[in-house]
Amino acid sequence: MGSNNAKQITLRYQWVRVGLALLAVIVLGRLFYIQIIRHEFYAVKADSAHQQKLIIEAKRGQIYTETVNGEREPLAINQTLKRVVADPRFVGDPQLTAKAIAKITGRNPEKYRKMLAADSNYQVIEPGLSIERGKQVKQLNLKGVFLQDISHRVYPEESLAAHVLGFVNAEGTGQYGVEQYLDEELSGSDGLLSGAFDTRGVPIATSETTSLEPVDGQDVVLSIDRNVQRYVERALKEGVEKYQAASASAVVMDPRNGQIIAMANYPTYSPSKYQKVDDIEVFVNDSISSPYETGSVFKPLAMSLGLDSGAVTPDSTYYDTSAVRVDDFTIRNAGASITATRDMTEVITKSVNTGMVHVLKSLDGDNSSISDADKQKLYEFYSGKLRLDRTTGVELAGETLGIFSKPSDSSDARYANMTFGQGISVTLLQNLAAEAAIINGGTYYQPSVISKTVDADGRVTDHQPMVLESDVISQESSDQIRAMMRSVVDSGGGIWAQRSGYEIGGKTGSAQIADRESGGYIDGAEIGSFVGFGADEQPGYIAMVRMEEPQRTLTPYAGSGAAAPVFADISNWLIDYYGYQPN
Amino acid sequence: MTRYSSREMSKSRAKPVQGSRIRRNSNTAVYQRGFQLGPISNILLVGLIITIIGLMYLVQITKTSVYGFELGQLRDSQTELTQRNEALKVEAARLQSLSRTEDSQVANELVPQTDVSYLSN
Repeated sequence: MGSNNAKQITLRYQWVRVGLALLAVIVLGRLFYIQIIRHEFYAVKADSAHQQKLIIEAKRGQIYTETVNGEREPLAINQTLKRVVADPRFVGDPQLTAKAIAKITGRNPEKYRKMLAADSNYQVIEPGLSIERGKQVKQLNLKGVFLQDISHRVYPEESLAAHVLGFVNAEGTGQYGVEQYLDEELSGSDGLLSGAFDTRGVPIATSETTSLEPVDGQDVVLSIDRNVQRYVERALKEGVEKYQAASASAVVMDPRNGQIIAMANYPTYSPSKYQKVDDIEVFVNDSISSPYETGSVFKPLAMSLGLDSGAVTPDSTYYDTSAVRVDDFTIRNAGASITATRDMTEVITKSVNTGMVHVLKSLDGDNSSISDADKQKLYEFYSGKLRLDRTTGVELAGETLGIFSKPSDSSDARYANMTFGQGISVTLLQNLAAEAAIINGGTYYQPSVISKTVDADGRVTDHQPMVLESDVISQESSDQIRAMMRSVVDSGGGIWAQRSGYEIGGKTGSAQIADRESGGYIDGAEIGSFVGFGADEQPGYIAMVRMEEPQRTLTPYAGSGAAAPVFADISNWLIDYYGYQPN
Repeated sequence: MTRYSSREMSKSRAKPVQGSRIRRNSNTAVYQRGFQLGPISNILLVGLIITIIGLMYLVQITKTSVYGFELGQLRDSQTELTQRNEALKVEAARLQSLSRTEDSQVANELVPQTDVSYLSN
């Protein structure tokens, strides 16, 4: 009996042992399955619970102007604001929460309450609070309410140089102007922090933490002089109001290096408040994006070719019959029909269209008619030397090309018109850069708004003037065309710009406005332009003003009557600002 | 000078094992420790060492966590100061903007320039 019991106990022990062994096998098998076979799966799952990747945003580069003393004045800078967001699912009492936030912001709590009670998991309660107010909201410890840091672009000078700057949109992307053109350089590259994070989202320093430092964007120093810019903007606004024009533009450039000192358009806007603009056309920089037929301001360009090729001299004469027949068209002079023998200086001074046709005819050495050779020479000069068939390359987004026909696609009449700025459309900046090239001795500089860039480490890179054509015309021809343009100010349509003791030159231009729908011109609508330079023998500034549709009752010619006075205002101020001394 | 045989030297340091048979050509003496730990003591000792090492590890980890927390606080503080600095720069830029300058009392008291005379050298 005792022996049987002992055997049974031993058997039970054996079963227990077998059972435990089986259990051990099952546990080991399961461990093997989890740790070996499903290793990757569970490793990823475990990592995802506490391993995170955090993008460290690079700081956007700032935009400055610089004084003559080298002091930088900010035009576009960054400020961190606090965005208040909420997850309404976790908000305790929307009413109380709304009141608490409204007490800090001073806004209507009802607006907040609606957002906090919304059927959503993400609501932006306040898009950007100051640091102080954000801290106050944080101290309330409101359930379901969070703060996010956002980088906000600030334009402390408000609307100053708006079209040069552009703006940064809600996604942080540059739009228009320098902000868009240099978006990549200004943005820099974001960094990355990868590793373990605690429950509050704070990174834990471990051997597995990897970080890629962000590279902040480059700062940009513009060639714009903010005082000149301010004055030009004011002069344009006053000009538009005085002559009841639809819009106006002006650019001031240093003809010795192509640097743009001021660029303005009216109407304008404030980049800080771009969301409040109703008509997005206001964002367009007309100086570079709105080609137009600039009219007689083109005459010095064609005349400089005549002078440089030896086809004419300032004293060359022709008999002006007041009208000339080309193809099936009659080209007439503006104003009264007066016949006379005129020299080339008079052609420029009195803006004689038939004289320009004479120059075109003379380019091949035979002034009897417009030949293919004449047209080809004008085409090569306009495109090859003055680069009117391509954009200028200025560092601004949205530069547009106008209409410029090749000789093979054009009638003689079109090429005749092209000598006095019709039948060809260019932007104000293209026109100005070409004029700068003929008055500065024959060098075409690429127009530029950038003076220098500063990288994240503080290394400064000066932007040197870029010569795109070095022999546009000879120095002698340049001297001659300058003298002709001075005669416009001394005794022609540019008399507004005259200032005793100073060498001021210029040229007026009034042109009809092309109708894009009909292909003809809009009745009674004109764009007036004036291009001028001063104030020494070697010009230190050149500027062009465009006035669109000034009231005809206020001025008979848009160029001499509306654009020239605005140029004169700017020119006189520049003479004082730069301290030019009279001869 | 007293001389000892090797056997005598062994006797002086070792005791014969009690109750064991002594055979020819076999060792008649073994070394005996004065103090010997039992198996439980060994386990306790090992456990103690592991506990001490564990505590040291925990202290280090806690210290690292504390330093990490302090570092986090310093970073927060740095961020806040940087943001305040940014805000002050923005405020300074706004106050120095041309529109503000032109509206200032000093600017309003300026008079327009009249005739300018240049003196030749």
